Amino acid sequence: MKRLPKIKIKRIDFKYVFNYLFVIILTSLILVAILISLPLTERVSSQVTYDLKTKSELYWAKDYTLQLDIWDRIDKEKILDRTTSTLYKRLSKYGVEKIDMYTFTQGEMEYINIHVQSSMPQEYVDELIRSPFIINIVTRNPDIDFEDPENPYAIYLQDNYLDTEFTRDSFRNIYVTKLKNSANEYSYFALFKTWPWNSQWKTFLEDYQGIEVGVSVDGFVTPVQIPTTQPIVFALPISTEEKEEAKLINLLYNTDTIPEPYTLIDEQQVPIEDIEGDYIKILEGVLLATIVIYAYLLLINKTSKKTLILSALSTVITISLWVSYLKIMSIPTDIFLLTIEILAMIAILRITTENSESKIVVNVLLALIASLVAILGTGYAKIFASDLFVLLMLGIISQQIAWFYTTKVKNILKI
Amino acid sequence: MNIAMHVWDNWSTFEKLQEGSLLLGILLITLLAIYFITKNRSILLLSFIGFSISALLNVIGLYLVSALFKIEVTEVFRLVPILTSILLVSNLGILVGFYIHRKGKKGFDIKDIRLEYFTDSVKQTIFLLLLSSSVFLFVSVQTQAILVVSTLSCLGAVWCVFWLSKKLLND
Repeated sequence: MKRLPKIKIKRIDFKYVFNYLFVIILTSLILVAILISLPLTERVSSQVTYDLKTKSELYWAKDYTLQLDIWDRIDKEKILDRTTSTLYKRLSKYGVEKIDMYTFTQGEMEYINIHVQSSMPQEYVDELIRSPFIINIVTRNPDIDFEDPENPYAIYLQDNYLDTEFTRDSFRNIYVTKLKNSANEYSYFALFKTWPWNSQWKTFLEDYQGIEVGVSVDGFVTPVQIPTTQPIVFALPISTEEKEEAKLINLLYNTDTIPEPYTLIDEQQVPIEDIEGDYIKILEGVLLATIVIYAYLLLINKTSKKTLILSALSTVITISLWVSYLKIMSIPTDIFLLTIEILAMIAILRITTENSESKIVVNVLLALIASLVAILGTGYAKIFASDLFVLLMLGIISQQIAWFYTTKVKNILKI
Repeated sequence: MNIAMHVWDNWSTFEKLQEGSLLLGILLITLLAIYFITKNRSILLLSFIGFSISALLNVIGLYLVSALFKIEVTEVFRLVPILTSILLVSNLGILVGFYIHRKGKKGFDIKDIRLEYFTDSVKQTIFLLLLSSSVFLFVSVQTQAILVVSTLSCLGAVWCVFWLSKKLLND
């Protein structure tokens, strides 16, 4: 009987196999990111939409005119400046991208013209401008009959109340939060908080315990019953269940104060300043530019091939991941801003890859600047800085991935 | 001049303070970081001069954009000083990086650092010019203006810094 030949199995190099598999997976992931980020690849799959959501279709622009009857005031300039400052703060905090204001006088009246361009919901921006949100705490006028059936609105008019010394400036903060109401359900309330040393407010609350007072917002009063329980919490019910609306009211309560009432006399839709451009063309342009530049750098042979490959790969990974993220999460994007972000990142990654000594210094300095602008900036600058901060982090990770990837590929291919 | 006058007349105190503190913040935070990293007053002075020149070139650039090319300078142009600072900081970072890397080493010579800084500045200049010009055709007029003013202001400042480094950077 013939014996079967022995099959000799060499010891499997698991490390090599795992490296191989890992490189394959990494290559696939990079390719997927590139494919998703490229323009029009959303057409590849009918099940998932990878289309970049641009802000172009969300933008609207409007001109508002506010009238102020302050002709007899000597501090006219101050009032106008504080009004425009507060309006600017409110709009920029809400995320309005473009705000332009100027003041003018006509006859005896002062006017403020506000030009707004934004992708934020128009009705909320309207509300931020329309309402000065001047707050006064008022008490009932004993001469007025609030129960008069012929005047059911008596309870809501500020003229029927007596003013107190308390205005918005008397409070440290007005905290908008959800609390249980009398029906044992959660609804929004505004909690008026004073400074701990403000004893007048404490005395006022104690004096009016169990009595109905009112909070006047722009002359419209919401009655509030001061509770008899201790500690006395002054909570004003807010007539909304919407989170976004509550956010807006919070902004109106807590972003400075308008010194004098004004009237919105005109609001008109105006053409938007379109600087967005065609995103397909732009992304193709950026892609073409990157390829041409790296080809040129390779040709002039002033930088080592290794550095160029690392730099180009880091750039491709960073940009692909960023654009893929924007596409998958359907984040509305300003195309012109995306272009500037991408160009800035291409330049930064090139410098930090080539100069390893300066990598940490440059990244730290840029992260500091980006954080500062994200905190202090407004409109487009704020969006740009916030995105740049994320891109810097993504760039650092991409450089590590690129270095790891090229080293592994080199080892596997034994180059 | 009209841009400065326009800003002065139409911006509220809050806007002026906010923009001023933002730009001053960028300058201070960068200069402080550079000084703490290098502990070298000449590099600090060079960086300050670099920022001042870039700011001046930004103003001239925006004026030219508005006066010569009749492009309305709007809110989006607030990106110009920020983009310029980012590009300039990445260049100054090269100088700082070289300096701290070589400082304590044997045979330290500031001329070598200047030479390396020169080589890298040339590369950055070519790269930025190529990058900006290659996307020029694909973007809107305002974006073109932002890119051109920022890039040229940064490059102007970079070469002024290099030229001044001959006089200011000594062993």
